[in-house]
Amino acid sequence: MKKKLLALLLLFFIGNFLAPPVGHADQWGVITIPPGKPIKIGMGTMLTGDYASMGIDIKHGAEMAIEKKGKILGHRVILQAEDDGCAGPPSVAIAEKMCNDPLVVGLIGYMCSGGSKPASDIHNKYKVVMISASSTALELTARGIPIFFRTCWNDKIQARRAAAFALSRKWTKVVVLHDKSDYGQSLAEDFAENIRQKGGKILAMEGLTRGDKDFTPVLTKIKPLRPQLIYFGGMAAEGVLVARQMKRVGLRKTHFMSDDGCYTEKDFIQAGGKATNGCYVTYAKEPDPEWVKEFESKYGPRQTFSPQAYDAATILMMAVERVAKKQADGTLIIGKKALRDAIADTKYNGITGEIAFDPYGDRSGSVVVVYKVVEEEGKRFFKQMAF
Amino acid sequence: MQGPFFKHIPLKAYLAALLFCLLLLPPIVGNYWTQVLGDIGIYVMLGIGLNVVVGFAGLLDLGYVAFYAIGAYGYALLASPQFNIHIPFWMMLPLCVAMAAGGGALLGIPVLRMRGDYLAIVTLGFGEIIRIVLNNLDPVTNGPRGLLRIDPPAMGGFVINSPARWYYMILAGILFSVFVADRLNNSRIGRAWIAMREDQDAAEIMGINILKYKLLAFAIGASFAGIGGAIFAARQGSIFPENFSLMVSINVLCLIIIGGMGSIPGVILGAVVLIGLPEVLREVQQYRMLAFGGLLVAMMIFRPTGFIPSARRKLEFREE
Repeated sequence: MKKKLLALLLLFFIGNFLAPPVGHADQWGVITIPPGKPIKIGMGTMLTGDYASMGIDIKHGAEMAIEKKGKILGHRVILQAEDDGCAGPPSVAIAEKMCNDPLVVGLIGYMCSGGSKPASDIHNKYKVVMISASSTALELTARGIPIFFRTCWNDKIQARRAAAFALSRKWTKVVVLHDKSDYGQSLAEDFAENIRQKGGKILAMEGLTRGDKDFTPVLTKIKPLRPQLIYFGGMAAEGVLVARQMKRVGLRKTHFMSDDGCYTEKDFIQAGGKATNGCYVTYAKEPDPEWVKEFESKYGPRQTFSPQAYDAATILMMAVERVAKKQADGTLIIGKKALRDAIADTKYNGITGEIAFDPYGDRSGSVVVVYKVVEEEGKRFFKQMAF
Repeated sequence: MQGPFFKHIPLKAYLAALLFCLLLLPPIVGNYWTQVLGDIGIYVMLGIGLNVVVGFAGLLDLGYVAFYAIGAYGYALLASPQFNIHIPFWMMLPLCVAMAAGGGALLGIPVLRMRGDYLAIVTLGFGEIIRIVLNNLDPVTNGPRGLLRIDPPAMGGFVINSPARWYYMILAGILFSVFVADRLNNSRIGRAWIAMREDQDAAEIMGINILKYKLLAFAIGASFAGIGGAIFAARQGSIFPENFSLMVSINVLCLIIIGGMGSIPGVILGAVVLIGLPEVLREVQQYRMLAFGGLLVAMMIFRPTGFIPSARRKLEFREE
């Protein structure tokens, strides 16, 4: 008796172990939304922690698009946002959660490249599409994962553009700083490479530690090199401190330039005070002003990636609308491969400009624009530079 | 176990029933919770390892994440396209354990003469050094960009790549760890550790070789983290230095304290609470971490010795 039970147990255990991971027989399988059930759009973004204001801004962007749309073929659309902590392990857990939720058609996210990388493997396994509004790491699209798209740009494009701008201003003696993060370092190295290739000179390249507050030692070290430009690859929390402390150590004539991580009203312009006047950042084309007005009346000042999130959600919903087949009883059948293909040949004039994807999931012809912090009539804001 | 009826059921039967329930879990709770259970499981392994150092031997180690990182990077470097070396997981596992144990002994040597707070500070430094080295040693570790496409373990043609398969594998790892830790605790070595924890000088006078037992505690404790790290790397498929921050050390220490120092069931329960609770609390979104912190404070007020304190420690508390 006991032996039989044990054998049964063993059998069960082995059976479970050998059970194939959830898969679908034909092509990629389908998503079925029964009548009366909502269509869920997943989201992984940072809701608590250091860069939460940026993450919540992304959530607001997608939320606005979804509220505007309301319903697709009679089904309510809802956003299910989860806190991905800008890191791998929570992003992977969320990916499992979303991909196993039968009502989730796709996901906007994840916020950081460090989360998107491992999570995209999970999404690829289940073939659930993801559109990131903010993960810019090159490796994401270079790996040939079919379900990954992004409405932002990749680091290479941004770095090339920033370097071209610096050289057009004849800033050839450059110091490059970065925050030793996946994002910041890739960008900074690409930037340095571009400068070097075009005959500029990199006087120094230094990594900072995320979360540090005092960068005067490294800035003091840089000072005797007399750089014309300090380029910083990283986020606003550190970027704004570098910009402020530069002035304090006496690097007054040196220009400061950073990336989209510093394109935030609250954490850069407001947090930095007058010290940020004259700083340069790169970011996408300014979104539709009508949209900005509407967004800000609802959620307050916008940060960085809400327009990209808005467009990502819109693209996903458009694709769902295009491929969903409505049955007589109101059930929606959405082919996963069809949905992916529909997103892949998106031709859409979004609030961030023309959107189309190249075969790797990158935005083709994405535009990176240079902005300068200026003070005009008592108002301080990012002003687009003619370039 | 209060009623007269329950007294007749041996502890082993309870454990067998519990194990049976655990085996049944994945198909019932679905992939997402299986994934979360896997996360919890890895922390159980880390907790059991740190418990050897902190709970049994009484050496406050705040840099435990270093060994976790050594295990993870050890596996990832030799089983990924980084150097195009692909050593199978099962061969790497003992190697990762050896590397982590070596790291433990390496840390153990300079801190042999240190006690209490000073030991804590040195270990804290060690943990940070390992992370910073991983972050800055770009040619080897790829720096903050991390190591990608790490091979999953395979047995023949059978690949462990779904949450359920990982769950069973981690469960097996935990059973093994619990068994080893329990045997250690009740062995001559375990008793020597306890003597050392209570009074190092008295223990030395009684003939316990402090040097040997301290190094042994560090090395054995670290080797659990080595297994945990290799599993973590293979399971997530990509690792980044930021995965090995100080917070991991703190979390592991917290789960030991919450569960009850020196107690293996306590460690398991502590991991379930500390790692599982934030996932349960996803419902409250932005207020998740706030609610989590509040619960922790409440728990420490009402159960200062932890959920399941070890019998020995409980007695110590009673005497005072």
